[in-house]
Amino acid sequence: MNAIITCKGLSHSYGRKEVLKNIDFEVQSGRIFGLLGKNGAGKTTTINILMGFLQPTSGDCSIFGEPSHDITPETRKRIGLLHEGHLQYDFMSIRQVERFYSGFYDRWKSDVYYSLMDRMDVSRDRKLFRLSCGQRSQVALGLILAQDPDLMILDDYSMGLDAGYRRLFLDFLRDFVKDSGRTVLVTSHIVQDLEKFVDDLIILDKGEVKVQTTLDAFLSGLHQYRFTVSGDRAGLECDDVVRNFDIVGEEAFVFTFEDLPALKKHLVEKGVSCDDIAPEPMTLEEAFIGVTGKY
Amino acid sequence: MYRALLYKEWIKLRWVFLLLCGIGLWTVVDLLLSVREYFEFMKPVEVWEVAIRKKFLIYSGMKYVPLIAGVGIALVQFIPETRKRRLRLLFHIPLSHNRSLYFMMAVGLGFTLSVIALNALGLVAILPAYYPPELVRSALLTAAPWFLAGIAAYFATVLVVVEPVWWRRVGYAFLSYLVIMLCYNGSGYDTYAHSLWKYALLISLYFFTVILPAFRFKRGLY
Repeated sequence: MNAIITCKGLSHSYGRKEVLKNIDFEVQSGRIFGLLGKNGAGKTTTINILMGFLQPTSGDCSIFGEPSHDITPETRKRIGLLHEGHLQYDFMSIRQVERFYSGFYDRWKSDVYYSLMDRMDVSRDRKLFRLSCGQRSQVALGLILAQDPDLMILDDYSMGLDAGYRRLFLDFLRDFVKDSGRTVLVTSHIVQDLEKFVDDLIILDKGEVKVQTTLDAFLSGLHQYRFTVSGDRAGLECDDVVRNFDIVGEEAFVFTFEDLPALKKHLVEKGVSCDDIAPEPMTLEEAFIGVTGKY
Repeated sequence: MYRALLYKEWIKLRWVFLLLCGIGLWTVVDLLLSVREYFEFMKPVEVWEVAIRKKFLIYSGMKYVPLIAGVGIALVQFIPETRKRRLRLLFHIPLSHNRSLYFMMAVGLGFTLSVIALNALGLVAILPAYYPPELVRSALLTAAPWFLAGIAAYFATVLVVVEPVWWRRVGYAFLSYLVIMLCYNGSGYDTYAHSLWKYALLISLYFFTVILPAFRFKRGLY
């Protein structure tokens, strides 16, 4: 496999606020890559740098081997980009915006666009600014699918969408990329939607990479254990073994990449009483919170 | 690709263009009615007195039409492109950033010039029927700085709208106000006859300035 997207030593600050701290990652061809993080974690900043809309304080990014700040028009043709908030030309109608974009792409597929539009019970002459947020997201997705790109970059596709539209969005996307060899980079703060979608993931927290692995390795490698405690923190602290913990009432939930015996030994060494410690199953969202914390 | 860009600009500009053409046409009709009224109710010597000695510009009704056209077209064309940082959409289409921006400005300028041309044609069509050729030529030379002001107003408004930093916007607006006022300083006939080309040269420089704020916008340098 070869890397479609490469970022090395990426850092960025807004004034004195450092939002990305020395980030490295690669997106391999044919993979679906999830860039996850809470609001303000640096996801959109990363996408803006990737697409050349922001000059990083330091570091380099490249897409299809071209520096991200100088992507040629030919390469941009191969990239379908969904901007945060499903940004589009709102002054155009459903029909006009399709006609506009079709003039730029050789592989344009009008039927794909209109098959998605026909699911909405609205006239093709309706202006985009008159559509609901969910309908606008459908237009934005339809335009990207019609473009038939080799790489899709979807920046927070879930913003403002209810569960139904989020499911519709992912179902269409999944069908589109299935067995096609296309590459997808998707960011979202609604993590549970991506559980059955992404192959690889990177979790950003406060501008730093917390986890970078495959989804399977993440879900099978990270464990959650529960035990009864007394006191506020019960002597628990985050370190290399205890990646995070949460105390709810008299129950402690510890997140770790170690197995049970290793964790138990570590906790005992730290003086933490955990006689009834037991594994607790978790979803991707729980694992995500386990790594990044609730706040 | 340029056809697609032209299509987008047409969608934005068609209604404001029609409105501005309507305003331009109204000033032309007003000129026609005023000239006819002069020649109907005044003696030739009185017309001469008003036109030459008092230097009353009978076509002064169209003085600010190019300015309004330039500002109006630039606002309608570029506000939808810059709200919510929508220029990112333009910069992602598979076309050179500079070329797409210059093309958009060329289209906007074309619409502005069309409104201006309507006024100029009105002068050329109406005045020769009533005034000697010298006065018609003089009218065109007198109105030319107003036309230049319309072009300057278009570029200046684009510059201010595209600029992402507010204090630079204020600076551009102030400088542009001075440039545009230069075109309205004259009184009477032919004030700018000998320096018109210098003003035209100065205003043409505007064409290249928009790329600077657009570049800063693109790189997030604000």
